[in-house]
Amino acid sequence: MPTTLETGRDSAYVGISVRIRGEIQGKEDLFLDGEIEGDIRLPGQRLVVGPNARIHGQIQAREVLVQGKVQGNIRAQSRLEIQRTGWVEGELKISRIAIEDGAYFKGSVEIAAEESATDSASAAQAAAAPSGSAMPSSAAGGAAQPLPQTPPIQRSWLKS
Amino acid sequence: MELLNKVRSAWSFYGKSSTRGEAIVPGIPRHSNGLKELTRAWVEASEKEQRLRVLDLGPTSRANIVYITGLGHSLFNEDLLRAIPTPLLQTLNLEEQAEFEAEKFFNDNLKLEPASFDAALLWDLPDYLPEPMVRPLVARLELLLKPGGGILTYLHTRDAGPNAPFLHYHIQNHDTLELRVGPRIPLKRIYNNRHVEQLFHNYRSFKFFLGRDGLREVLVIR
Repeated sequence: MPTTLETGRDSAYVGISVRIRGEIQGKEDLFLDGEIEGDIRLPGQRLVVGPNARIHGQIQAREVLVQGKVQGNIRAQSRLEIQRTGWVEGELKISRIAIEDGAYFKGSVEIAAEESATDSASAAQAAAAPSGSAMPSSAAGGAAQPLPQTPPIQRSWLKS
Repeated sequence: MELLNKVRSAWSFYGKSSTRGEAIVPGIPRHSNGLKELTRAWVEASEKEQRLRVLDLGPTSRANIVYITGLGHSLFNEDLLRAIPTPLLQTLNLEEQAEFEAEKFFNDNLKLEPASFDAALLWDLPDYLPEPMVRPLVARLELLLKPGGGILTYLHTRDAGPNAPFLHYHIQNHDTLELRVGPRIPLKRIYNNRHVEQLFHNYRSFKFFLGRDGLREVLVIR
C-alpha cells in the first residue's frame, strides 16, 4: 500500500489485484492501482493512477496523476500530470498539465479555467459525454475513403 | 552543418537511448522560419480570440502542448511512429516495408473528424515512415485539414546523410525549436523540392526554407 509520502496525503487505496466494473464516486483522495472499467468521479479530490492501474472510463477529479494506463476522457479541475510510465488515450480538459518525457498521450488537450469543486457536477457530465472527435463511421474507414492517386515518388536513396 | 554535427556528436555520445524515449541530452535550439510563419497565424488568431485546432503527429511533447494551449488553441497529439511495428520502422528493405498495410493502419489511426484542423505538425515523419504509408498519410491530412490549413514538415536534405538522427521537436517560442535526439530509426528516404511538390500535389501552395543543418523546412497549405 502506498505511504502517505507517496500519495501526498492519506488516500483511499485500490490495490493491484482489484478489478472493478462500475462507477467510482467519492469525496476523498484515491490511489488506484487495479483495473477499472467505469467512470471515476472524485470532485475536488486527488486521484493517483498507479503504475499497475488500467482504467477504461472517464475521470473527473481536482488533480490527476497518471503513472499507469487510462483510456478515456480526463477532466481535471486543477492539474493533470502524466509521468514517464503513464499512457493516456482520450480527451483532456484541464487547467494545467505536466507530461514527462517518455509518457504516451494520444488525444486532444483543451485548457479550461480552473474550476471550483462546486462546478464539478456539470463537469462530470461533460467528461462522461462520448468523444466528439471520432471520425463519423462513413468517413472513418480507409477503405471507405479512396485516397487520391499521386504519381510515384522518385526516391533518392541515401548512400553511405 | 554545425547544428547537424552537434546533433550527431550528441547522438554518438548518448546513443544508448531506449527505443521508447529520448536520450538524456540537452536539447539543441534551432531557429525555424517555417514555425515562425505558422505561429504568426496562431498568434493573430489568438488575438482575435479565435480558437484553432492543431494536430501534432510527433511524440508527446509537453513544450508543444504548453505553447499551443498557452495561445488558447487546442491540440490533438497522436504519435504515429509509435503505432508502427518496430521491425517496419527499422528496415530499409523495400519488400519488407511493402508488408505495411496502410489501409488497415488508417482504419485504426488518425480517425478524426474531417476538416477539423487548422494546422498539422508533421515534423520529419515522411523521412522515416514505411514507403506504403507516406501517400495515404498525406491524403489523410488533406482530409483532416480545413482549407487554408497548414502542414509544417522538416525533411532531410542529401547533406543529412544516412545516419541522420531521428529528432524530437519541441516548440520553445514562436520561431525556435528545441531538438532532442530520439530513438535510433534509419532514414528511409530524402526528398528534393520536386518530390515534395509531387507528394503534396493536391495542396494549394508550398513554401520552402532551406536550413544549413541538413533539414529543409516546408510549409504546405491545403
